[in-house]
Amino acid sequence: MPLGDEREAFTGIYKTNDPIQNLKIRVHLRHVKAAHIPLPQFVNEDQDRDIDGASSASATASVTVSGISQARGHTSEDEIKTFSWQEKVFSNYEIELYKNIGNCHTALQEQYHKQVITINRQHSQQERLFSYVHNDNVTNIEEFLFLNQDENIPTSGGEPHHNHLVTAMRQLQIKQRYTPQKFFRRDKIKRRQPLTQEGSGNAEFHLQGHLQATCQKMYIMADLSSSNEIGANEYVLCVIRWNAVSGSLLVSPDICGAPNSSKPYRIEVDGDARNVYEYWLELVSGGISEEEEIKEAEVRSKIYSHQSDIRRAKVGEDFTTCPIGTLAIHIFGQINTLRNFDDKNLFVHYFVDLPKGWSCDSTSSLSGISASCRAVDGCVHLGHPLLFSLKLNLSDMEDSSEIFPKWPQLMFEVLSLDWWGRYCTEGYGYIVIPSTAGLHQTTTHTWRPIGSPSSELRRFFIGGNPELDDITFVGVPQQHEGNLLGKYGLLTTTSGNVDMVFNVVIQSPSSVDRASLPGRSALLERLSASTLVSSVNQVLAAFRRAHERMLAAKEGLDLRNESPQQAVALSH
Amino acid sequence: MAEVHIIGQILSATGFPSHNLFCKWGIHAGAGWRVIEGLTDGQTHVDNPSWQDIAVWSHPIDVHFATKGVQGWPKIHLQVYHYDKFGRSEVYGYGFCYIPTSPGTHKVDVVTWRPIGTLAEQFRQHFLGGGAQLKTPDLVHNSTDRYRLQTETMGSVHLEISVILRNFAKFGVET
Repeated sequence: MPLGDEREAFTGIYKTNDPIQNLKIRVHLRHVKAAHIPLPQFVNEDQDRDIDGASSASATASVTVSGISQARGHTSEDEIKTFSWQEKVFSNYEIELYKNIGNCHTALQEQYHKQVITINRQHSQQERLFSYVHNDNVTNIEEFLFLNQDENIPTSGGEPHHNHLVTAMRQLQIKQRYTPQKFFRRDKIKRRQPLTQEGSGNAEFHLQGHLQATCQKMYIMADLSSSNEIGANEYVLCVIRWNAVSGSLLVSPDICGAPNSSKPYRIEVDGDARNVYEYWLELVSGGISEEEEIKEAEVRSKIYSHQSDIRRAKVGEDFTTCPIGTLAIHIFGQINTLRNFDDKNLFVHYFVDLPKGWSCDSTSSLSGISASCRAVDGCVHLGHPLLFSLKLNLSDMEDSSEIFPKWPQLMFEVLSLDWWGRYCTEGYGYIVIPSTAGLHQTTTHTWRPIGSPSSELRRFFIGGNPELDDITFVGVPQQHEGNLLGKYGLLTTTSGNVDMVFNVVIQSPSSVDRASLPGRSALLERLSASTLVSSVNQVLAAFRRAHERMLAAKEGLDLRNESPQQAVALSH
Repeated sequence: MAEVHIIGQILSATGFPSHNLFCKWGIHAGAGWRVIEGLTDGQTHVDNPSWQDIAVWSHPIDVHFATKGVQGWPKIHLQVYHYDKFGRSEVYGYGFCYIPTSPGTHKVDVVTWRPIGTLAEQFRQHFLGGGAQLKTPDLVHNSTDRYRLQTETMGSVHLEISVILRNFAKFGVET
């Protein structure tokens, strides 16, 4: 390439939902003046060929020379034309062709014939820019979306491995040197018929696959030949492909902008550096008017509100709230794994210890026995569900002096089941059910009581183990009173670990304002809010009682004289 | 009514005795829950890793629930099957977990187990394959009647679940 200020050609890929009819592309075509052209470096062969081929009309060299001479004589002025989508602009060649009704065979060609006649009357000035639309079925224009196999290899040395992705991406992002393909007409009439199947391995084919058939094309062309050789040098300036299904628009080369702000694309006619054209592609699709914009926004909001109405109808409105003065705690969890226990075949017996003020909907779920499971590598997978729906009655709390309610505990024992169906205790443990909402993963370490050495021997050989009389001893025993909890005197040994998962959901009568709750669950605030609500309710109830009493007293008055009753009623 | 979106993946499974695993899954919710959109059950492909101990499924889950209450929070239950070279499928594990109640993305490991039969059945299972199955798969996520079950430890299934909640705070529910 002789000049540096040239633009590299990429294929622009755009996604749009708007109607393609609004697409407008303005093309500036400029013939570069002779003063800017560098000196030709090739002389002999071309000149010889010029001399030889001057007589033969088909030789391309002669076309070049005549083109130059014509161009030099021509005042280099910009040719500007705006193409809208699938707008047919006839080239001079086509005007000549379709003027003769004898050349027109199909309905489309006859339609062109009519159009051509009117155009011909309007102006006969020579124009270079024209277009082929989709219906023209121009299929033998070679796509210039081709690969330069030897360029753009990121690695140095050796033959790099080309996988499919690399090839496809390179075809998409064609960072190739843009060499406009010349379009030769071999047979001027047959060209109009579809000849080949398109999409044999170019970028579009990889991009869209089987959607190829739904793709529409448009070519913006330039006839850069001389006046006496119409249609000999047709160049593709731009190929526009539109896929209505995927809404993708491919413009190759990409739209570059206005002439004064961007670099042009460059065409050398017949590879001749002295006969150079520059052109710019500019997007001039008009924006939508304000009225349309408002209308579109209206339609959009209408659709959105309709959709949200449908959704609301599907979802519904009702929700079970918990009664005033109570706090509902829902616990969804699992006993997941038991680890590092001595025995192989283990199961868990558990129950929930509810303190005062708590209640449960269905008492059966508060205790349970899991399936027995055989360990692998000291690990037992139980996956036992824990489902508790607990209620805390806040009115009970008001009587007691405690600020924070006692929280329920999950107590459990891990037991082993042997070959003869006997079970013995392997570990005791307890966990306070998490009081904050959310997901909690807990690990509890367990222990078991040990007796005398002889009982340990018996445990090893025969089985059997000292057990606790009262299982609540693992936490705070039920009979416990006083300030000090002493467990001195009990000999224990550690056994394995129990992993559990708790999902805790807390529901209160008043709605939660997340912004007002800093950090994590502020249960105390919730409690105080709930107790506040309940105390307000108590005040209201007391007021109501007093009111009723007053009314009853008034009724007693009514029996004696009626006129004050009316006055009271009025004032009331 | 409050809404729950459950978006996630059944990522993988580890710790199973052999390869060629697939997983059947389903999401169960209580009576007050209604599926607005999405599929609540499905089955993954059969994954046969060449040498790793991990079967990768990356199976998508995307369900939208509407609910009248907190009770009956949805749970996902899984059945891992082994697809052997004769084209037979045998149960390798049952497992379940509750969908996390707090919003956000959670990595959840579901432990699995499988029922074991009598000694003769175990003998046959060792040589011929097959093995005991649950008559009612509901038992997986049911806490009653579990004590009658004899099981053995199998591998674990890894899930990644994102939870989006709506309107729960309005009804006083803290999650």
